[in-house]
Amino acid sequence: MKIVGAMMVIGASAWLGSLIANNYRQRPRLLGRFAQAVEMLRSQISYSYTPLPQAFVKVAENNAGYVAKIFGTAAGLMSSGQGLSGGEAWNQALAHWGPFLPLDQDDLILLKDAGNALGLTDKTDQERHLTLALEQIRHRIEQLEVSASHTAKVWFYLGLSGGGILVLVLL
Amino acid sequence: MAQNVTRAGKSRTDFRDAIQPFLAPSLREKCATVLAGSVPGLEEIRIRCGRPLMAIGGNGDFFITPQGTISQSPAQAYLPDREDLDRSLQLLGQGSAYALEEQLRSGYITLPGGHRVGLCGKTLVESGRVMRLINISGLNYRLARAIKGLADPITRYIVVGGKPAHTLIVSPPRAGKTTLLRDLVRQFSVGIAELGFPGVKVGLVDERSEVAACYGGVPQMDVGFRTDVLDSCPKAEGILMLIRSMSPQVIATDELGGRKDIEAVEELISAGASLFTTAHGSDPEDLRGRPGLAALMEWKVFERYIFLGRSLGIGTVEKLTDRNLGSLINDKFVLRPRPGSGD
Repeated sequence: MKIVGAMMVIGASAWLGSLIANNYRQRPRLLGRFAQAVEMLRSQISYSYTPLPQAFVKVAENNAGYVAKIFGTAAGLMSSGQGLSGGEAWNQALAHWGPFLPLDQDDLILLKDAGNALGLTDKTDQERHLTLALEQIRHRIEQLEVSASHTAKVWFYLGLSGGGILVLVLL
Repeated sequence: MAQNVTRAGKSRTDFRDAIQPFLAPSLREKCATVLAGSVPGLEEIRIRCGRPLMAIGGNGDFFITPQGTISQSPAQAYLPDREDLDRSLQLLGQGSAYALEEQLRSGYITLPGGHRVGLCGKTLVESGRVMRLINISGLNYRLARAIKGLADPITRYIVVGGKPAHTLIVSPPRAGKTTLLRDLVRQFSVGIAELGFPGVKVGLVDERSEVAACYGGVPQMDVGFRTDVLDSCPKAEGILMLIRSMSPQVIATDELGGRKDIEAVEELISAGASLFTTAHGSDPEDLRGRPGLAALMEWKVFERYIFLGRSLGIGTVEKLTDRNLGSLINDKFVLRPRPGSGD
């Protein structure tokens, strides 16, 4: 009975550790999807001068999960008749969905900054802003990819060993 | 006039529905009664940063109060702030300044329904050319009105020898020349049953998008089913393009006058097409002061001159003359559609 209990405690804490580890692995993946979406948005602006509400909808339709939700929400806000700028709509959408994302505060600030100047300037300037935002997101992804695998392993083994220690204490 | 306007398909509900979504939320309620008809013959709503909110109607200027009522006193008027203008501009451009580059250069935005918004602010100039407007400080919502049948009283003068005559409509601002040109285009395109005149192919060069009021390339005004529209196209190039590609029997364009335009008119005459056009002015002397138009007058190109004014109200035909400026009418009159016209 004790052995079964000990196994359950170790399993649970290992599972908790792997959850946190998985979260670390998700961050660069999600940021990668945001990078693709921003690239698509830049194309919509560069090649077809698509107004932001429609461009947001197109990006949302070509994505899934939280990326689609954020772009879809931003499109809805811009079409709501409040006269919101692209940056305002983007920030509100991000503020709404941000708490559900497996991203830390720095990641969210990066995404927020990417949308600040949306729609405010001419095409050339929009391209410049979005290209810069893309570079920053990609740089962030690179940093995370290096650390994520290491950090994820640490959390998994921390969970496992934490469970082991707990079992020893309880016994 | 209001009845005709309504019959032509532009009711006050149309105005409200077309204009309100493009006003900042803070201005919508204030302008609601004006758009609902409190200013007779509403033509414009003027929003200037820090200055009285105004409505321009057929009977003059009115001021819009913070409560949305109208007043004769500027002291009672609501003063729009930067936020009002910025929010309105975001709505007009769907928050996408890059999609408005051409409009910000030309100074106006066309809305669905053909209504348009004039823009004022600081101009950015490069090599003597206006590149765009920034710091927009004034918006002028101009309501488009198509009055079908407006040209009814004068079409018989325009058909000469079974052909549309080269016609110049001359008027000061806000006397109805664009509205008249639009209806002439429509009638000659569709055909005029009363005169036994079959419709002809009409090419419209709409440089300022005022006649057909295209939105997304589609005319928002009825300009007739045989009319081909070149939207936002410089007049001279547009006339030549139409001659080469669309074989029009009539070419119509608003506000002719530049030297290049006159060269294009020579081509048009050689091609055997008729010209309907307009010019700012009040009398023949105004036209003679402009080299391009003076040359066309000298060559007696125009077979009909229609001088519009406001002496009896908007759309008063003050004079209607032949190519020698000999009058064809005894008295001035106000243009009105015949009963049942344009239905």
